[in-house]
Amino acid sequence: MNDLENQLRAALTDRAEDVTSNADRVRPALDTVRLSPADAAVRKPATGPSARLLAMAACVALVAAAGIGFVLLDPAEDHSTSDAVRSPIPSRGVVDVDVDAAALRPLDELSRDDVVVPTMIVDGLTLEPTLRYRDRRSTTRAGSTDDSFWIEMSSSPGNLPLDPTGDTERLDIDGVTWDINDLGEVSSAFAEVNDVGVRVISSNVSRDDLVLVLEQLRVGSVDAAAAGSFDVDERDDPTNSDTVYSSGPLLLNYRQVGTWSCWSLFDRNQVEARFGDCSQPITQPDGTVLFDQFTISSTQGDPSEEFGNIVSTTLYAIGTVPTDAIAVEVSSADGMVEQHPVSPRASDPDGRQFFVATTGFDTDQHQPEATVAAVFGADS
Amino acid sequence: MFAEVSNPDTFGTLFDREWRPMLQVAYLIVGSHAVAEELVQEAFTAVLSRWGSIDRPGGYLRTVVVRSSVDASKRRRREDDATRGTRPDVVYQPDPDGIWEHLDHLNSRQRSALVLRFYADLSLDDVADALGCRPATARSLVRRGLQELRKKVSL
Repeated sequence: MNDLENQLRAALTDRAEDVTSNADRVRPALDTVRLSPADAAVRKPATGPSARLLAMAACVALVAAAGIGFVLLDPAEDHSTSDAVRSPIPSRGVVDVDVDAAALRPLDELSRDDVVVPTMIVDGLTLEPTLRYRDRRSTTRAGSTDDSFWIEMSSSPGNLPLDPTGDTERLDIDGVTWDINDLGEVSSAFAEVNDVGVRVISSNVSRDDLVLVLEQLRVGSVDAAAAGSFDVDERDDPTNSDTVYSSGPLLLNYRQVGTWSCWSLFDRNQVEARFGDCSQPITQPDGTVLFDQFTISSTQGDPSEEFGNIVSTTLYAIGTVPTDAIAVEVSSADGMVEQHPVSPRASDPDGRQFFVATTGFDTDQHQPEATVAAVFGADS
Repeated sequence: MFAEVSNPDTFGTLFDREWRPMLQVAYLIVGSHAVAEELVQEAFTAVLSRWGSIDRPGGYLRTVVVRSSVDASKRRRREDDATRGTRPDVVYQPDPDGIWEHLDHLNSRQRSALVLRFYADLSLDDVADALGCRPATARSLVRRGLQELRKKVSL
């Protein structure tokens, strides 16, 4: 175990010991009762384990029978005595929390004007993402959860969407429209564009988590690590997590290559990816010139071990290519080659074209790696 | 830590043995003594209400405590808690490396994974089970948590 791990272990152990030693001093355990959820906790010294436990058991049975929430009464305790030790922190439901009301407004009260989305500046081109939300129950995709909401980020008018298929599960970023959820699951992403200061979010999360997302968008300070994993826990049984969607941060790496920009967005399943170096122009035997290649690969240890239990994954790439590129070619490690169209951006003064490309893998067999290259005509 | 109380004869046995470890874990994940106490109390109540129908009450209890703590940690991050930082009834030993403070900057799942791995000494499979995720995800949570911690400690 390295030094950091030792330090961590020591710090956790010390803090845990501090907590419980003080808790013992303040009051014993399992004697905390609440008169009702609306009352502050009144804690008193134990009156004896047997009586206490019996009382608790009886109360739980009563509560369960009545189908009501958490109210534990210990009939053996006198809650009105003045020598009761009041907890310094009242029970939940009683604490008056100073909350930014706007940030925690119910979603159905939110409107576009309530959220300020940072302006995106890429290579001197200013984009103003728009934000809209919709109830995901309106989607036609099977398997959606009822209490989830989408955020759709779309560029301001003038940027062209790439995908004309009309798929309702669409994400627009920078005028690039993605067809997400190719696997029938939700892609969750918190992307941080290095050195550009843009935050683009799309996520299928619970209402509470989505509020967090919006709050972070508001202040423009989403940190990929802090955003981290957003689980949608929808369960009644506390032991059945039903973590429907668990996402790690996606890394949106931005790199300026020559006069165009290369981006890659990587699999939500916490695949860390990096750019390969753009290579020199390569002329294919058929005369096609491949100019820029971006390698998307996993950097997390042994891929066969890391991803062995992931049946399949999809890698996405978005970026720009020179004006005379005619397509984007994606070559995956398992031999699949796909071409994707490019799309001109009328508002781009340099005339660069955007692309979005995806390719899928069975990651229990293959390392998720793909190469994306711009394709030019033979006479370019 | 987390040794299964094999078939405790009574709920009281389970409680006497597990209250402290559960409180410690809950606190380390949530960062609030009071919230941790409530979580653990509610977890024991949940166990009690299902007593007799649970095969492994210790495991059930642990799962409830851990997952409730992760949820509470997420909620706590969102709230502008006026009581945060005020723990008048607890005196802490100094933390010269600032590890505890840096833990507060991790996301809830990373923090939880580190607590379960390096305090509770759970295997990655058990961490995954407690958090309700895949072992690969648990591994990644631990690794990323350490990475983030390393960055902050070295600053």
